[in-house]
Amino acid sequence: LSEAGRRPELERLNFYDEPFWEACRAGQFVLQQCRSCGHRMFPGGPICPKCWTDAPEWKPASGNGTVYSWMRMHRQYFDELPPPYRCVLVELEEGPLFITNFGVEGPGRDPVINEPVHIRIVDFENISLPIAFPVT
Amino acid sequence: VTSVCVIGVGDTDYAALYKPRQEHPEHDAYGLATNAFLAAVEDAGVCKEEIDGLVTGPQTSYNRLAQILGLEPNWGTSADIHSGILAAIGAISSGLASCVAMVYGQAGRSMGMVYGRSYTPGTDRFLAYTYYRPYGFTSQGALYAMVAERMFSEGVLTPEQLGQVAIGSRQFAALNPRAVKREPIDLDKYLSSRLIAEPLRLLDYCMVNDGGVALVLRRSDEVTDRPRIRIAAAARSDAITDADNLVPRVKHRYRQQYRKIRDRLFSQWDGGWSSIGALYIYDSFSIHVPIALEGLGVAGTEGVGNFLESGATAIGGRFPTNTHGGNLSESYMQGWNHQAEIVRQLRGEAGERQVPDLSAALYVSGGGGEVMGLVYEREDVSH
Repeated sequence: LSEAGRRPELERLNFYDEPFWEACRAGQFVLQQCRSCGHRMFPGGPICPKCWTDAPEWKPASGNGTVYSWMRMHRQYFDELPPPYRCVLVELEEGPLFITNFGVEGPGRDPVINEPVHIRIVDFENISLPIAFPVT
Repeated sequence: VTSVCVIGVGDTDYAALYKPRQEHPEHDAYGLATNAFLAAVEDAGVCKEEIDGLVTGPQTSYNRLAQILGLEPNWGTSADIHSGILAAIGAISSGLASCVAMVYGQAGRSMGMVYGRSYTPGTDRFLAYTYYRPYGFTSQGALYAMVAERMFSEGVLTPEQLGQVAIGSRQFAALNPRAVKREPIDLDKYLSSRLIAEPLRLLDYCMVNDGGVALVLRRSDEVTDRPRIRIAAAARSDAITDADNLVPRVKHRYRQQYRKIRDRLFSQWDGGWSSIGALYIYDSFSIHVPIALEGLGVAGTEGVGNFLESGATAIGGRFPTNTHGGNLSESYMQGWNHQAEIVRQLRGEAGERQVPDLSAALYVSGGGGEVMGLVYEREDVSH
């Protein structure tokens, strides 16, 4: 999927999230996991917000989730993304909500709320991004 | 229970200030804030020396505005209306100050301010959208589009019912000479307005405009010769989790927080729904209104969609909402203008749009992880 073109750059990195983007570059979708209570979280932080155990670990996530909601952007904000294009809000199996796109843009059907999706890493020219794809 | 009254309100003529962006703007946020301040002070009937607290809106620096106004406060801060008014209530209640001016000005339109686009305000502090930029998701509108689509899919609301928010706000604005957007709209016009962040349309968005608002707050026992519009109750409940609070905001729609503030407001105050004659809801997007109505449980078993469709929030309804036209149609003064309108309504000074026999009003806001509410009451009233 390297023909996928360019995407707008990340505007700013959260200090604790470098391992997340490093994993993306290696083709893996990861989330932090608390070493004590097992809570899965995104974005990354220095402690678990549930039980305050320090140093949560970055562990592979299943990539499985469902479409919680979606929207279609009609205004052009980026040269790399001519509208209309779709964004989906995925409820990950592990708990967090994650915003991404529904497949690599182009023609194709719209997402359906509650449908299962699987998150895969897509290598764009300038960035490797987790993208949700329909399972069926 | 608070012992704080609003004794003065002032604002600018938003309609007159609504002009295309100019190369040489005729004003800035400080000038607009100053005009509103002078009007509020005159309305309050206080002298300069009596003002011992100052809250400035987020677009203006506390130091610069204090300098411009020549104030020497004993207490002050710069904050949005929601944090700022709670801070002012706290300062007055604790004795740090007894008479606080709250002053807001913004020149967003003449400065060409655009929310969203490639620059995403707040990323440094909130991590809002930090991760979403490569997906083309950088605006509050995009985020609230997710909420709207989910509400549609749950059967809580239809697009036509959501349209009643924009339509209702215009009906009120048509009766408000200072409102920027006064042209009436109907359902056809709403449904044919262009999609921005689908399912949200242009008419679901607030405007970006220039103006100022100011309020003067004072300890109730020092208020003798003014109408006593008391802030009878105040409450806040935060839900700050995830990137941009997605779980509490999009999944739970702050329902738990709205219920908490409702219960706390009603426990601080001897009134209840039966005493409240108007609702004021922070409405940078139309969808904030059904979210708040749902969270407060005001629609009951009827459901928020049917509640909106029934006209309950419109002129003559049981809970007329945003009677000035709100952020959608009067002015995008980020909730500050709602406070001025509440005070004018409770004094009976709202002209053609006056809600008859109004004795108490409820203001709520549910923004970035923070839900808050205020009950305002005309103090000569007993329940």
